[in-house]
Amino acid sequence: PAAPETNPGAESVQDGVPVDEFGLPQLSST
Amino acid sequence: MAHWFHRNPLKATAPLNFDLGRQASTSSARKVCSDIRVARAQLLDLLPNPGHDVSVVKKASERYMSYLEGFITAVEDSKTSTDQPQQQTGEDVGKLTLQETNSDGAGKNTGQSKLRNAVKITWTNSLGGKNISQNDFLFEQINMLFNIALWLTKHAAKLSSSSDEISEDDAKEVHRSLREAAGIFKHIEDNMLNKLYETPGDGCDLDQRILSAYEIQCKAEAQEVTLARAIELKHTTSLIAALSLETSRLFTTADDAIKSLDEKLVMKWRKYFQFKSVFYQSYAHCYNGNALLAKDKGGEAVRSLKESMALFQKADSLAKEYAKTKGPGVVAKPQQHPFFLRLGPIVHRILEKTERENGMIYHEKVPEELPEIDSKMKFGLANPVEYEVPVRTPEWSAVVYNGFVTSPTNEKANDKEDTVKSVKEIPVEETDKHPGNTTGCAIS
Repeated sequence: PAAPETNPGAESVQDGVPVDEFGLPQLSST
Repeated sequence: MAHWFHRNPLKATAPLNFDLGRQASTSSARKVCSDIRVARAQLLDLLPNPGHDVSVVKKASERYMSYLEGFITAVEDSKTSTDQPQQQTGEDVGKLTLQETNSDGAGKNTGQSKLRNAVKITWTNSLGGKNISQNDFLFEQINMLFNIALWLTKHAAKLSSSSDEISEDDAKEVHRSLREAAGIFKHIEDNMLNKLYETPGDGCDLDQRILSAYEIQCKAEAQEVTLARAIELKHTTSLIAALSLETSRLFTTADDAIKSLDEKLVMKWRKYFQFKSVFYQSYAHCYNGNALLAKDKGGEAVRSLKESMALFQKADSLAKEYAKTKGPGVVAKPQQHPFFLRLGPIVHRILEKTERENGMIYHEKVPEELPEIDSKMKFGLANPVEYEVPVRTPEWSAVVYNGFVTSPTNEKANDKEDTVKSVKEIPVEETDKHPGNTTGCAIS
């Protein structure tokens, strides 16, 4: 299968930044 | 928690029994009338309770809309005139009265249904005032969709008023419900209003200004959810300041949309918009002050926080004016809400700290000009979810459609005033309990 184009958990990308379902930048879990 | 969202009443409607008399000349035509009558009643029974599961209301809505579609657009099959009659039996035989010819097949037709103006339909307005009536099933569709959008906003308010800290999934549902409601209002505005035969009157629910205010309110409140989440998750101060400012601007736009309407109808709603707009401006300058202090700009930070404090006091006055203003709706109690109550002390504390640090470390003059908030960052903006009209039910076959026989005498307007009973809505409960998180919002 083809490699996924987005990071795991990212709903979409805005201005090159992965964002969640609320449109907020994804925070790193660390 | 106290109500944070203002909600206007649901719309009520006169009973609609779909009794088309002799126009429904076959048993299958009469069955469709019976089915849609039940579907409408079931949907209307659900709407007064904001606690229902969204999927239940959506299913009932889709069912009703799928039947209603056949009363709005003509049902045709290009083969009907030659192939279909031989499939008919009993009383359906010989009742073909196909009139529309501008279709390219069943389900793809854009012609008007011959039944579109068959009965008079009456609805109340969410802001009160005189009832609205039209002989048009498209008018029925618009008003019912409007009511479903109102239900979605009430469902969101119900979920967010929970005394416990609600789950992320619930927060997503609140956010999505508001965006779906915005999508329905937008769909009515963009794709349906211009297809009505009669222009809706000023100040009624189908007035473009009122539809626009509802759509913007839904987007702004969805952003409030996002903002609470951004604060809880400790996103950057500049992101929070920018999102607060955009949310404030949306509430101002909603207020502007209805400022030319009769004050008696809209003043309470407008006060709510004004309160929220000023409150989020205060929030924006508070976070911008924090961002400026982090960049060692002590003087500008003090200026921003002073502005935030002044705006918070203005928001407090507007909340009092809102409480005093008469008007329809389930009244929000912003001054009792922890999200509001916590901002004042926060601004006060940060202002004191900033003034102290500016006096001891930065020694900067506090400028008269208010520092601008960088609003180029567009994270967290809420977009309406596009509404898709359900596909017409397969029960609407050409044979069924052709079982309806219309004549000019059937379409006589009924000038009698309908009696409409108001909806007994199940209120959104509120408690004195406050969540123990940063914002005081149950949404995080």
